Formats: sequence, C-alpha cells, structure tokens
Amino acid sequence: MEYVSPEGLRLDGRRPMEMRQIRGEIGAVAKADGSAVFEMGNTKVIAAVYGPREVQNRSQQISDQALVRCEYSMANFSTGDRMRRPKGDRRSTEISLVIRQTMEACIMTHLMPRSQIDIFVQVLQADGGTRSACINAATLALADAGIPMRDLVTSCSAGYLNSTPLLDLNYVEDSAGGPDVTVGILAKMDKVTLLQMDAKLPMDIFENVMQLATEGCKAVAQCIQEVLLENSKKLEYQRGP
Amino acid sequence: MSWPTNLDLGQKEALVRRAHSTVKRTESGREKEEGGEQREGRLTQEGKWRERQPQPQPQQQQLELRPSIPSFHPSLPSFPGMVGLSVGEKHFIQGGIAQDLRTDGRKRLHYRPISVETSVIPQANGSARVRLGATDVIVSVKAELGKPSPFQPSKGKVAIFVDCSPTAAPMFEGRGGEELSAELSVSLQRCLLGGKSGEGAGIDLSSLMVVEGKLCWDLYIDGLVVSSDGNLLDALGAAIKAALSNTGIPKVNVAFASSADEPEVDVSDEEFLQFDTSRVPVIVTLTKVGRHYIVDATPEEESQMSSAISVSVNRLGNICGLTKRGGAGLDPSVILDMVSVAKHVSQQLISVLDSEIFAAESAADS
Repeated sequence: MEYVSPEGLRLDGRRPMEMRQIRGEIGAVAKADGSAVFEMGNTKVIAAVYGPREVQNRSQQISDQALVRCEYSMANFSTGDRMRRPKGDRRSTEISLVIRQTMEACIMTHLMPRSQIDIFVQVLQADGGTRSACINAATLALADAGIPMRDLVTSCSAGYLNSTPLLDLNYVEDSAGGPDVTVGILAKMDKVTLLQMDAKLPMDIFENVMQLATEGCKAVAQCIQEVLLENSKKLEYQRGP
Repeated sequence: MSWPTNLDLGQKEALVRRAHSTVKRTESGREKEEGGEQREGRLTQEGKWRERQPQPQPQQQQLELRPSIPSFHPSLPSFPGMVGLSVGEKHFIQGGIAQDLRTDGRKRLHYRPISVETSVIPQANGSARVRLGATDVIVSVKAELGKPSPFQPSKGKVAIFVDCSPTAAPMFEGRGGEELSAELSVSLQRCLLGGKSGEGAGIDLSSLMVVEGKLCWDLYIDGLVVSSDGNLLDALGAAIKAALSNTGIPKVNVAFASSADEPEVDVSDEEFLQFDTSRVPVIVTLTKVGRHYIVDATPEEESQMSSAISVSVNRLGNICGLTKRGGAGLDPSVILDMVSVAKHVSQQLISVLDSEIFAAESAADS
C-alpha cells in the first residue's frame, strides 16, 4: 500500500514531517487535583492526577520518596470497531508502566516522601500515538496539580514507510507494519527518557527517524508551554489585583 | 496513620465476636483454655495498640467507623468516593434541606445547570457529553448489524454498558469501579429498555429491524463517567437521550439473491435514518434526606440520604421504570408521593433537556 503519494502527501493529507493538530486544555475533571485533555489529531485522552496524598496501601510506602502510580484505560468507544476488553489486559498494563516510569523520572519525588501520586489516563479516542498523547496529557495534568517537576516531559512518535521518515503516525500508518519509534524527552534539559521501537531499521535511518521524533517532542513542548502560560495568565486574572 | 485505624468495620466486629467466643470457650471446658488464653493475649495486645494510637482527627475518624449513626450507610455501593463530613456539616446539610435552601443555594427540586454537547466521538453513530455541575459523562451509541433473537424476530437489540473511569475518583482504579458500573448499567437498562420482552421500552425496538428473523441493528450504548459529582444516573439518562437523538443509523438496502440464504446487504454511508427519541424517558432521582426529598443530590447530600428512588418518566408522563436504592425502608404512601413529584419534575427536565439538545445539535451542524 502507498502511504506517501508521489506528490509527497500522506493518507490524511499531511507532509511527511508534519504533525497532526495538537491541542491541550487544562481542567477537565473538577474533582481531581490536576487534570488535562490532550488531543493529537483524532487521538484524545484525559489525564487526572490525585495527590500528593497519604499512601493508601501502607506496604507500598517509600520512606524517602513519593510513590507514583499510573493507570491507563481505554473507553469502549475509543476504537473504530467497538470492543469490550477486560480491565488490566497486558497492553494497558505495559502502557501504564511506561507512563509511570516516564513521569517518575521528571517528578521530584524526593520532596514528597511517604506520599502517593496517582496518574489516571483515559483514552477517549484512539487513532495512533495514544502512548505519546497520554504522556503529554499526564505532563499537563501534573503541572496543573502543582507537583514539582524537573522539566516538562513530552512525547511523540515517528515511523518509516515507503522509504520516508514520517512524523506522528496515525492508526493506519501505525498498523502498516513499519517501525514505530516513540520518543519521550525532557524538553529543556534535552534528555531522552523514553525510547521504544518495534520492527527493524538500519542504523543510519534510525538516527534520522529518532531525530525527527525528537523534533516532534520539542514542538509538543512548545505547545504545552503555551497552554500552561495561558492557564497561569487566566488564574492570575481570576485572582484579581 | 497507625494501623488500628485501618481496621474496617468487619474486622472490628470479628474482633469483638472473637473476644466473646473466647470467653465462652474458656468457660465451657478446660482443654481449650490454652487456645483461649492465646486469643485473649492477642486481644489485649490489640488494646494496647489502640492506647498508643495518636489521634489526629479523632472526631472524623470515629464517625467514619461507626455505622450506628442514623441516615449514614457506608456500605451502600452507590456512593462514588466516600465523603468525610463533620457533625456540624451534616446538620448544616440536613437543616438546609429541611428549610428548602440547600448548601449550593438551590431549592429541593432544582437541578444544577445541564450542559449538553453532541457529536463528541466522531467514530460513533451518535454521541453526547452531559455535564451536571462537576459530574461529566460521555455516552456513545454504536450500531452494528446482527441477528435478532429467535424469541423476538421482529425486534432489534439494545445493550447499555457503563464504565467508571478512574479519572473520576481514585477508588475506581483497577476493578474498584466495577460494582458501581454494574449497578448503573442495570438501573439504566431497567429504566430505559423495559422488561425482557422489550415491552415498554423507551426505544422503539421494532424500528431497528432490517429483515425479520434474519437481520437487525444492535445498538451498543456505552457510557463513561469522566468526573463524578453526584447524581450519575440522571446524568447518564440525559446523556443517553441526547446521544440517541444525535444517532444516525445508516440506511440499508437489502437484495434477496436467493431467498433461503442470507440476504445481501448494502449499507449506505451517505443516507442516515434519524432515530425517534420523543419516547425516550428521562430519569429523575429523588433522594430522601430526613423527612424531605431532593433532586440532583451532590455527593455530600447523597451521603446523608436514607433512601433514593430513581423514576424514569417519558414525555407523556408515563412511568417507564423505577429503582429504589438505599437501606432504609419507605412508607408506601411516601413512595407514591415521591413518584408523583418525580413526574412533575421530569416534565421540566424534559423541556430543559430538549432545548439543550436542540442547541447542541444546531451548534454541531454550524
């Protein structure tokens, strides 16, 4: 199948190095300590953060740092054909783990010993790149909750189809069988915290694809910073003089 | 928190019962003295732990552990997220309800503002998001072609599933939300779909039939609780009504190639049939607190309830389904009174909801 037309356009009309429309919004769940919605094209996720609070299961308490927990769940209606998968299947367990490890790396856990931070991400629409969208939503929600972080973690994926590196794969491109490189970076410190790839890729091309994904992460970081700034301005305005 | 406070009620009760049984056993025979002593030892140890225990919020701790306070039922599954309230707060809520002025300024029979948004899930046949205060639910309707059941060959099938997302409350994590999800799904099914025969259903099941006995539409109604701030059932009912009026079912052209075989189907992706939702009922939950009842209770008010009745009423004022929740018994005459109040409130709710749905649909079209 042709994923990049001779004119250099992808199936959804994007250029190979073009991202989908990204949009972030803070405050989707009123009762949570921090929450956010993040959209990448048709992929849409909600993240809610509860904490830092008392550890619920005392045996999990860590004496010198905070316990970070994460749960990823997909709504029944999130995919094209309806499915009803049991909670806690292997895929969501793995993604929960990935998100937890990525966020743990940026949260300053040593400042909140003997406490717990819960991150819940809920996929409303899945169209490829849910992993990245979840991490971006979680970053926004953590920032909204006012949890001290070293830096903003942002994530983006890139692939390689029809001998062209493609940025931010959608579902059709993702299921095409080519490699899918998901990168998560600490935006300002310029460090990679998450790197996953399936399928195989020559070394030099991998370098290009990863570079592309990293550029994508930086673009997401820019967007997230704008959203946070906008939100802070709103809060400042609401507080009054 | 030191660990004796972690004991839940069951454990405490078991502890007391154990203490009694040890006394009995030591009385009844000498051989069992040893075991009895051990048990007593454990008990006194436990007693010591209690003494040592620092009590940061003694009042609240105690209240949460005591089931004997009237109109407080920690065991009810219908509360998403237990709310800890002081005695003063409880009196304030109860007194406000008695005086027809609730903590958020509403009267007893006033709903919070409802906001409706339709077509929120593009890949579904219809969807809606309803916000009621901080309660936020999303409902999607998906239509799939299926085979009608042999008992009702001329009717389609409708199934309702509700999921409670952990984003709404940390206690829904893992399997924690399953009980509430099941309760909500069953209540909705009862209120909207009628009995097993499909009789009295708010949705006209025969309109879902394509070829009698061979082909029908299966409607899957999936609800998701994104944020929970009380009165989930009413919000879900309203969202289902909105999602159904947003639903377009593709037109199906059936060609009979050979009458014995399966009919050949051509599903149009341009022509859609709109659904008749005028008969879909709304759900009104009346929560009884003290001697009065209120609609659209917040979690704080729900924690003070003695019982609640959810009535689904359609536009004609017919009652389509009813569920009573809560531990306390109700006088039959009170139930009848509550139902008539619910009927009255439902007509207002229907008109508000209709105008909200209309506004949402026209906003989505433009």
